[in-house]
Amino acid sequence: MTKSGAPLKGRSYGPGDLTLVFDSSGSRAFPAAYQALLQDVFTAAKPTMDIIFGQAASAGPVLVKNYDADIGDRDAVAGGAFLPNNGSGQPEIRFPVYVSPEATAVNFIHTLLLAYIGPNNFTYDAFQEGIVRATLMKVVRTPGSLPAALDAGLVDSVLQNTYDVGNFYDWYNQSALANPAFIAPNLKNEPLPAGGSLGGIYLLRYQMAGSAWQKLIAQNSGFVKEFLTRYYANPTIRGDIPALIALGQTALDAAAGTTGATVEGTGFAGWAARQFILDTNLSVGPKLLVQPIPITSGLAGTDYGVFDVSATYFTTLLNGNETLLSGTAYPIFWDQTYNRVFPGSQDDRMDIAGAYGSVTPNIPDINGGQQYRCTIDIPVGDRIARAYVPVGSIATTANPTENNCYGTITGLTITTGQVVQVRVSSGTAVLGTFTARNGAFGGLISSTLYTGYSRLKVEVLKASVVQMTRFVNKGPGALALDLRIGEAPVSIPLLKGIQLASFPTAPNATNLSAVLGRNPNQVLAATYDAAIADYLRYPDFSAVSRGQGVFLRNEAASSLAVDGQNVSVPVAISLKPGWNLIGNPLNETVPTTKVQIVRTTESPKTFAEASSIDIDPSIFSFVRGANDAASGAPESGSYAIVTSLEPGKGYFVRCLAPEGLTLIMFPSTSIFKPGTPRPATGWRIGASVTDGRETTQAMLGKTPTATGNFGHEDSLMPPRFVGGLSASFEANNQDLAVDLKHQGSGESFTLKVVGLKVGTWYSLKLNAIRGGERTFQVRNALEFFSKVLRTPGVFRFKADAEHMKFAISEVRP
Amino acid sequence: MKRIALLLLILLIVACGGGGGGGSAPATLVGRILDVKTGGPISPKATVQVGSQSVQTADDGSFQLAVTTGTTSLTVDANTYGAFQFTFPAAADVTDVGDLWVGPQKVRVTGRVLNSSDNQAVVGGTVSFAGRRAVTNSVGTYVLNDVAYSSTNLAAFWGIVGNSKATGFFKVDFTAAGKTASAGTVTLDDLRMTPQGDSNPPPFPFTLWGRISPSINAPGTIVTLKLSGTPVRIFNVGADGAYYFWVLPGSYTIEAVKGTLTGNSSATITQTNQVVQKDVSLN
Repeated sequence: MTKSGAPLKGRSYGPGDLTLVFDSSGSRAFPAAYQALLQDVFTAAKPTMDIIFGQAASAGPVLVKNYDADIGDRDAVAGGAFLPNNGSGQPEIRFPVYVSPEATAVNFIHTLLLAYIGPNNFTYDAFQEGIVRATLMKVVRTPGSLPAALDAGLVDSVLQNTYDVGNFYDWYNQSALANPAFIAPNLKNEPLPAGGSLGGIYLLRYQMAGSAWQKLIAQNSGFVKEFLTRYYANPTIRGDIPALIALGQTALDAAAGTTGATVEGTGFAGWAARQFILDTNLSVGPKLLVQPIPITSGLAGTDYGVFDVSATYFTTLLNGNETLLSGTAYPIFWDQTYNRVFPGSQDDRMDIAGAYGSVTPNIPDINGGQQYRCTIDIPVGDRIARAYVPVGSIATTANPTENNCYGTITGLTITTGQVVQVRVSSGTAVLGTFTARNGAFGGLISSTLYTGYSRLKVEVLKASVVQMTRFVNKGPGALALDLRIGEAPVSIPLLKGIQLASFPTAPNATNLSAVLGRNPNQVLAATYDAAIADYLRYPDFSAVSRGQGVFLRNEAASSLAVDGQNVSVPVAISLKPGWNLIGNPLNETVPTTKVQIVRTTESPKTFAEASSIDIDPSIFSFVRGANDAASGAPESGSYAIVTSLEPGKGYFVRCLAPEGLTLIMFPSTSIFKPGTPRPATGWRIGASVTDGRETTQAMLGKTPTATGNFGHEDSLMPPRFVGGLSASFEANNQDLAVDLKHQGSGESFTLKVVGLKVGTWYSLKLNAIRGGERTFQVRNALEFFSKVLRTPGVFRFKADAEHMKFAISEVRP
Repeated sequence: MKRIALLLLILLIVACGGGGGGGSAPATLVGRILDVKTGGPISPKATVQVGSQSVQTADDGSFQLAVTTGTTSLTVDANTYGAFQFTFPAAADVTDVGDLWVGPQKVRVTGRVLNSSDNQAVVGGTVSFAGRRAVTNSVGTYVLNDVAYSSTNLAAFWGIVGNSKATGFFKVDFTAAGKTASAGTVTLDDLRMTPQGDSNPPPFPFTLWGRISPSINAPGTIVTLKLSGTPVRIFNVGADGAYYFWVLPGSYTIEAVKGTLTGNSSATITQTNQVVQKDVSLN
């Protein structure tokens, strides 16, 4: 390090030992006991740090300053900060005063390791923090590497709370993690919210980075030292991702003493491409991540699959800043055959504020005590995040002992009687074989070959035949697995000129320019955002998701191979009110008969049932026009209505529901059946009016959760054809297709019928949809008539005006 | 405590205590008080007051308050932030007033609401943001006063999701992402609402467009786009009198021909997300 071109006093250019320099007085001085603890921690940990990490890149003094009063909250949560140059040419650790000595020790080693890298700091947190945190976890888990007075159990708690999410790595490996920096620039000094939110996704990014590199340490404990030694020789590659990836393979080979070494069964480049946290691209737009955590203690009663399910919802702006979004999600829980499961009304809705929301459902036992795979979809706006969790596989009231190896299987077709097993091995030793039921499995492995740092082989067997083999590296503790069978790169034809495409896969690369393999300023791409009733043009959006439609303009025809997550299961797409540009998320043609619609907390409907109520029945495909005389390729086209969606193509659909919708497309191999009706909560009655030629229908009902205002269970009317017959319920000056009032309110409903022909006879029919038969009084205040109807019941009236209103109230038995 | 659980609890209380009397049952307000400085629940807890009734917020910022049916406003005593008053439609039964934001500053948030199909003003629409509500005027403008704000902590303010509702249009959600206050006012981009009755999908994307004038001569005009003198696109102008090209960044010339009439223009596109308008006159 230099200052004004001259070497700093006391620092050398070469590797060696660091010496800690504390302020002896003033606001940056630590309390004496705290300073002594920091020094003791360094003394105890240094030998192990040197073995795993190698010596510090640049020997010499490092200032250690008390920044308890003014360190950013997020930096404090992340374990302190290190500046290679504090503005005065000095390397400086900025550290708060943690209450717990164990937290102090762990976090201080974090900053010490950052100081080891010193002036050679990487450009991207994925490398800088990932390598440091993985090493830190290994160091503090090495016996004798911490002062003896510290409590090992509490040290482990610190790791579990703020460093290590390796247990759930498969579950959290989601595209929302990708970013150049883990704390967005604008959040660096923002205060943390009160309550459960951490104020963004940054901590999970740190945890996932450490957990990703921990896999490399599990592969070979010498990897980090091999990597850093070579990197220090040429730190100019600090921001050169291809060079760093190549270096990763070199270090992997060196540590293994062979060429072509692998991590988790693949070369370094292929492995890194599958870790979203190592994707350093900035992708603009709203992001959503779902994070399930199994609850395994304090189970009682009917507790069967209790999970804390939290969502992080934020937007990345073009300048790298992040907003902490608010909103409302209606979580959807699917059983193994994609029937909707309703854990409880308190879990119907997730209020999100400051980027954070959570529910804690007890996902019920629906298979007579047999475990199953539950798919959790969290839709917000036009984003959707998904997690697969094994219900009944981890710990239940009946079987409270917590399993330490569990997970889900997707993409496997089984016939009756076929036994599916998951076999976990280390080398030649089989550590456990578990029977999977309904796509879920769980068991307990006590071997030390599993409970510590492990390299595992995981196989899925059907009728004793291996269907899939995965190599998984892990740190100490349990392991949740998301096993997907049949995933392979998909090929998408790119056509010269304009085309409306989609990706039947969730690309591993989070930026469209990387997916297309084009320079960013050569990407002409646009997707539609109903919220602005306009296109978002790349790079105003840059991440593409499975099921998203994208207009592309290509200079030449080619075939695009996209690597990503594309297991053949029903895939959900979230729609905003208005026009949505969607794609077929599956690699096969999907007719609308294989599409379901989910509206907020309701049971799924078929596309036909939802048509004209929740969704416009017309789905528009793009038909390329004639070749442009200059470019020689179609530059425009037209729309055509279709009844099936082809793979790789995009479509416009119109969502009529004001709260938005979730649309779920089923592959041909999936059993498609109407959703299981929600357990009876309240009642619903259909009210239809017809003159024999035209018929119109609206719905009334009462539920325990409905509110007095327009709520998420009510539905606004779709637009009426001019002159057509239309029935709706009038409430709060709005016309509702579905008017749900809360049970016990005693309120009556006002049915409004418009488009009547004066002098014509009409039939008003009430029929029970949910909650059994009921009796109602139907009144027309102007005409002074009243009729008591028991469902299913009909009465006829003669229209004396184009608009008529009827008061409908329940007659208590 | 989750708000939905709160609703159920309230309903249970109402059901237990309501009885069959003839008097009108009181309404209950439920909602959440959030801090624009952090995005999380207000801490220390705030006091929500309607008349002589008041209640302190829960740990998650939520509250429930028994009020008279028809109540249309409440006051939040947000500790050092001072008092914030919010209005809402007349309360009846259990009324969810949503998230009410408080903060160290108050600003005015303003903008316009337009019909996406013709860019005409949407009049009489209701715009809600941060617990504030306003109705659009004759030119589609709305003004939300006393909106919570923190000039030094904008991440949560930028993440507040507001919405615009108007009869005959799809509801639109929006945020103030990237916007800051100037002289006490945050001016948002135009909100564009899609008419419910328009069953035509949106037109295709483009980066360069323009109108041909005089408009009577526009249909049938052939517009040629050239890059470095070489034609790269040719467009036959339709009834809307405009041309549209979706092209990469570059410096282009535009040549329009209709019979003996011709017109020229040039355009430079610097970014792929840029939309440039260049009108061409035929002479």
